[in-house]
Amino acid sequence: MKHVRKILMFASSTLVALTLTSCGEKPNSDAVKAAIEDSEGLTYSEILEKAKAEIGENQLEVYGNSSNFSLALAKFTEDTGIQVHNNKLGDAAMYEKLTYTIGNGKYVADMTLIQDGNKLQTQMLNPGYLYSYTPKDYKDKLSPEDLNPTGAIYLNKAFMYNNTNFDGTNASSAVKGAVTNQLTNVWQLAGTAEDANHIDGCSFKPGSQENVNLNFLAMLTSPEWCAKLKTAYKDFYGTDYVEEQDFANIGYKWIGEFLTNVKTNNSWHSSDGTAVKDIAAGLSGNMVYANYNKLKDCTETGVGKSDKDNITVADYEGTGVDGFGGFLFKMFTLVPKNAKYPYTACALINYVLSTEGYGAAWGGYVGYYSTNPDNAIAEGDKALSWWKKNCVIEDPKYVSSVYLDVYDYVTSFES
Amino acid sequence: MEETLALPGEKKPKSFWNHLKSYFSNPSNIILVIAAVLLTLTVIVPLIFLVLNTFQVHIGEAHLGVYGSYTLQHWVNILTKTSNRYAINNFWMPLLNSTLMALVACVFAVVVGGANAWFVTRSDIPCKKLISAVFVFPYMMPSWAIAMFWENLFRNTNVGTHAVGILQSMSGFCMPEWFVYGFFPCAICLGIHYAPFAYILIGGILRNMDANLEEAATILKASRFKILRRVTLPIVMPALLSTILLVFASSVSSYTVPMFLGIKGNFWTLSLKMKSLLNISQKVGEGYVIAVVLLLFSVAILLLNQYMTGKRKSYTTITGKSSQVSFVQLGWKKWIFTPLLLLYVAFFAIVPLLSFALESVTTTSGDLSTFTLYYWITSEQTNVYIPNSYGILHNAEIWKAFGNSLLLSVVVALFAGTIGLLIGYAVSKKRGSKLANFVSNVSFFPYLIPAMSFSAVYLAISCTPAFSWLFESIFLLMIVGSVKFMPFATRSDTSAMMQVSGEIEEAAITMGVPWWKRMTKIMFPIQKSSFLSGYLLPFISCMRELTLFVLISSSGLIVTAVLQNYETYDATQISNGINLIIIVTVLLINFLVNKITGASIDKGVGGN
Repeated sequence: MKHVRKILMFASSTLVALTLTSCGEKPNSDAVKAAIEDSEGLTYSEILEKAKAEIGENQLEVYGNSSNFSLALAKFTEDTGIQVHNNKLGDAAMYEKLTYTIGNGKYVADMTLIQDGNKLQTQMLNPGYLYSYTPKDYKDKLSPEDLNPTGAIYLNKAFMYNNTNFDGTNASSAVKGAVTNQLTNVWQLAGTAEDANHIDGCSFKPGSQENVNLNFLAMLTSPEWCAKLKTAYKDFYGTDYVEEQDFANIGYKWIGEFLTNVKTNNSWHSSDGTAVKDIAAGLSGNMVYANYNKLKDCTETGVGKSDKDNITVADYEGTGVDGFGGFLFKMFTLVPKNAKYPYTACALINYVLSTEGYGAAWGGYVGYYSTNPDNAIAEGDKALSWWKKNCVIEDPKYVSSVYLDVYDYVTSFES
Repeated sequence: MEETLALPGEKKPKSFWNHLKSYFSNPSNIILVIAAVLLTLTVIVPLIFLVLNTFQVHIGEAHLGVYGSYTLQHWVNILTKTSNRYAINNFWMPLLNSTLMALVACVFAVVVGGANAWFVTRSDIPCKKLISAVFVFPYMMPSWAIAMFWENLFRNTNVGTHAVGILQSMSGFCMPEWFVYGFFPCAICLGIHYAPFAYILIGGILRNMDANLEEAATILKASRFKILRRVTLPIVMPALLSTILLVFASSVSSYTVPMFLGIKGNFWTLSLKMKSLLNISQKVGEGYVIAVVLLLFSVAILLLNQYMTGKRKSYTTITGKSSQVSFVQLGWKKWIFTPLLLLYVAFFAIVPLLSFALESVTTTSGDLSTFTLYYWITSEQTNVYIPNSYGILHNAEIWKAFGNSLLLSVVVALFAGTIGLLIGYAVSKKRGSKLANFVSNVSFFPYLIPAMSFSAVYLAISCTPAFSWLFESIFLLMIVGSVKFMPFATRSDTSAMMQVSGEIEEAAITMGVPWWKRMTKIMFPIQKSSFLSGYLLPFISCMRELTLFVLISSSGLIVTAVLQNYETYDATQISNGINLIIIVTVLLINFLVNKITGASIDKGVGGN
């Protein structure tokens, strides 16, 4: 039976060698780069002409993590005749798949709509798996921070609270709007219960379970946001902040105290959508930090129900929230280095930034903002420029540089 | 006779071929060799990949070295890093939490499932058919469905996001926090979800156990407890240990239940930490370390299982002699146990199913006055964010994906079930041999490898030139599903085969009955219910699986991917409707199998 064992060992070694050798299809990254550079000097109609010649009757493969994107793609097909197949995956699965396939030279995608600044920088941009394309028609319209890599859509998370006086017993006699100016300074969420106007237990999704939240916390440690936190600290406590040995900077102090508050009150949640609905239907003053666009899911009416009118965005009131009112992060449009149809991918990126493309998918919904200032915001929402002034903004390069330290620190509160 | 002389060190060729011929004349040996080769290719390779990933520097880990180089730092960090109590918070405490949770889930599943199996097969309680049929429902639902049901029932204004739950709204009563979120509900929900395992595996053995054994003990004036301890328990030991193995391995790596009920109670498990780390570019290697540790844990139990079942020479309960099954007369006590069992199955099996059904036909959750069939029958788009999100009955995307899932599950069930049956037969015949132990152990490993990691390996394989024809094809899904769910079949069938005495088959061999006829006319009919479990369990698991297939399939290919899309956009009615369709399908298949073959998961246990 030694022979049988030898056969088994040979078969397994052969397979291991075959599978672990990555000599996939030869990448055509030079051709893709050249096509992108060429496209950056062309208008949309010029690119579209090249795109149609390039793709013919074939299908453009797109990877996106947003269902809304399908609406833009459908409109793109309707307007241009170019067929598109959307592979909608969650963030984790999408990064996993793109890393393996692009890394092994396997073609799967021509264009991606992707978020999460840390993963994007470390897993896609640093190794050169995804290329950025700056459309000529929008180069002067987009802000410099939204170029290279090109951001297409901003989303935001905000501090929101239940504005009714519902105490859990008599919904019929409770009223909306009874609570105002619940949060006026971010230090209300940190500190201890002895602080004036301290807010206990803002509902928050753990950073280890949602990368966007961890990116938000990481940004608070940057010099810019430490400065703003210091200003807010002085406004709240009436004294200047003095550096402490326990914290590397004031950003870490706020993070530590905020998460201690969340943990002590068992205020973690596992889904932003469910949390927003629960807060809307719940008790007076309860607070949540979640995606602003989740308000659309609060479709019931009445106090004690999941009614979007029971919720107030803290930053909308009075002079807003001292410090910051939320977090802005982007969905980026990028081209894989082994894309088969780079001109068509560039045409699509143009379209996503256009009024037709953006409007078909995200227009009219709160919590979505085009980086193209010509695209209108939803009724009742604030302009992107307003949110940029009041929110922490994701910087992929900074986030990836401090991610390890912040992750280790944040997870010390998740135990 | 002329003797062939050989020089020292030179083998006699004829002798080798004779030996080979003799070896392969035994069907068990043929099965074991083929299984060993197949399992080495489909299981050992992913295992090697998994272990290698714990030493490799991944693409986002530039701080540890050059991409593709090797490092011990992943192991050092996750096991020993002290800054911010990193190792304690991200490994040791979650490990303790996961272990305790899995142990309690195991105890619950075995006690509740085993007790139910005994009542249904060995006692005279009424309503056996109903209890038997409904008890398996919790396994047909995803584990998160039970967790969601628990949360909706018990949450209240004093805990979590302070939302009113069903119990509070009906009675004003608020359960304490430890009951609603944290360790306790996680363990209990997992126990409820996996109790059907215990019921199926243990019940299948108890059903065929000869009552003469227990009656002999009764005649010798042994107490009921002593009979249970010294007669019944030892006989069901293989099934009991298989149950513990399956339940523990599943519970310790469960992700969705702790995600729903653990996080909100500050209860962190190893699976939550693993998923988090695998999703962080700079910490992927540490995530793989946790995956390997989870695997090692389960291997330890597997070896314990082997040691304990290896100690005894035989677990035979079915012999060539006639046997009888007689029921224990419970007397008045059956009127206590029967309502309790009915309450359990109603509460944890029927009510969650009804809640799915109701959620799909009400506009406002829980409000019957908003009853509508809109989400089933409309031709309009029901969700602005999802293109073509027509009513379920008009939704081509849902039905196409459903057809794919059904095809995939049937193929996976047939493949996994048949291979499991053959492996079970061969392992029981060659019990104790090195090859049998190798095949038995390796056939279980796929169950221990996290689904995402398992499919990542096959994604990588399908990217190579030799196997690029598999990339995103349905064949890849069939292979991955068959290998991943084969452990259900091998465990169930090995236990079942070990109960059958060798003398039954020997009698047929003596009569010159060929092997295939012995299998189809003798072996299979004897343990039909257990073998059918080996087909139905992979079918059920495959129908409701998503994580395993999400990386290797194109989006929207299978119905669980479509379900997840609707859930992401809080299209509650349609996602609950799809859930209902999946569960009803499984029940229908079980019913059809019952009608065609006369056996089913539950009927074979005691529903006749």
